[in-house]
Amino acid sequence: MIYFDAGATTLQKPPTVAAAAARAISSCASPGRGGYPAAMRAADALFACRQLAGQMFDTEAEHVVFTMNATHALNLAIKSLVGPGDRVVISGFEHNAFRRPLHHIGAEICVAGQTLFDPEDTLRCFREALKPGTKAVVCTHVSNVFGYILPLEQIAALCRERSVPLIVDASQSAGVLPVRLRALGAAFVCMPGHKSLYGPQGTGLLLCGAQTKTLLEGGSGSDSRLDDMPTYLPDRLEAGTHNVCGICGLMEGLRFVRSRQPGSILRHEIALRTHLQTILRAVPSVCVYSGEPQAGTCSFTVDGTDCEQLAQALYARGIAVRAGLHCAPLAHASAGTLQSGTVRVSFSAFNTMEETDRFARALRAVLQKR
Amino acid sequence: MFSYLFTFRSLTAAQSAGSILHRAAVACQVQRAPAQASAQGCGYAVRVPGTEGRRAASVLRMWQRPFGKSYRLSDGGRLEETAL
Repeated sequence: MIYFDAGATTLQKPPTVAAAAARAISSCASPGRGGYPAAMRAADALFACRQLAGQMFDTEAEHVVFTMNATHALNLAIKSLVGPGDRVVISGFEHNAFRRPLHHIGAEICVAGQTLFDPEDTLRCFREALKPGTKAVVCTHVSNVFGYILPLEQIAALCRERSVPLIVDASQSAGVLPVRLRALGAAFVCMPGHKSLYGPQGTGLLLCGAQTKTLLEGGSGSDSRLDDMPTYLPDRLEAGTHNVCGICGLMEGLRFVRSRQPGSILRHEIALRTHLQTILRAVPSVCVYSGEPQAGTCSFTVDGTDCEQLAQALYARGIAVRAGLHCAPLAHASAGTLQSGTVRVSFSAFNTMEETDRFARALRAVLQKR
Repeated sequence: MFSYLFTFRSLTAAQSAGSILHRAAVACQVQRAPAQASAQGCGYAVRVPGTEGRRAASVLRMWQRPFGKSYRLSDGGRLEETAL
């Protein structure tokens, strides 16, 4: 199978990821729940992962919180800062992981910047939308549908200038683009472990630069006499037993990313995406969504063809792509593809040019059969 | 031979302190704090050899890794709060 759905989760991982997770299942107990070797091994593994994540994403190990996924991290971040009626500015390319919690809370949502591949327009819209009284800014770093790289550094600078807390969704950028909590001055940065960090599903990270509120309460293995959760991180946000096996796998994923030259994974994915787009543009009736700056994700539509049926036909030829709305109706509304959806191709470090060529041949074959 | 215990509010804080001490070539071990040294229950401590107590305290202060209290732990298990 050719797997082009890294935007959802990376399927091919470094072999060390599975090996570490397998080792952990038989050697690690629960961290913070005992002083015996198996518990301390688990504690050491978690701390090593926190330290490495802290080094990679520019924060202290204690400010790295393990979550189930990016959605879990985003919920913690949003519910720490936003209450009913609060005005929140979001980009026009946000995922439901942001949009739905904000709706659930009853926040006043102001969408800023809906023009694809136009960082100047995005920045201008954020500047206009950041009025006094804005409680938070929520911004994805890279659109999960179109690969559009938003001008995060400039938006962060604007937030710092106006003293508005910034929550960053780094779901599509962590492991690919530089993500630095302290340099951005962000309140929170949220990321999954299972996408471009190559960890197992069920892992995520929340980097904390602001005060937090709990989402779950329970055992933390610390300050057990207290009725409430501890006030300090990471214990405050980590109630219950950790996903130790997943975190041990994530550690190896982080090591894999770190072992690469900075920017090399991004360059590889962009090379694949550019090659694919060149091929797609030559196919009649295909509309390719491209521009600059764009990461290793590309969406396209084909006139008169249902995107889900097209993806189904590609699956039948051994190619895994994602079709539909990608849990991001706002991004589709911004790009004018809310009715049709798109077919999305998203690359990882493990994809090759040869796979891209085989995909192009398969697509042509599918379209000729119409 | 006795040792010293430095208590921390969390396991991660103790691990972080342990990491700093290792880098400063101070032998240490992260462990559960004795119940007597854990006011709120389930505390954590970093244990260093008796000869390294003052240096460890100095390193932790220099790297801004605040510990709760420090204790002298005798071989027989007697725990005594002490200022370092």
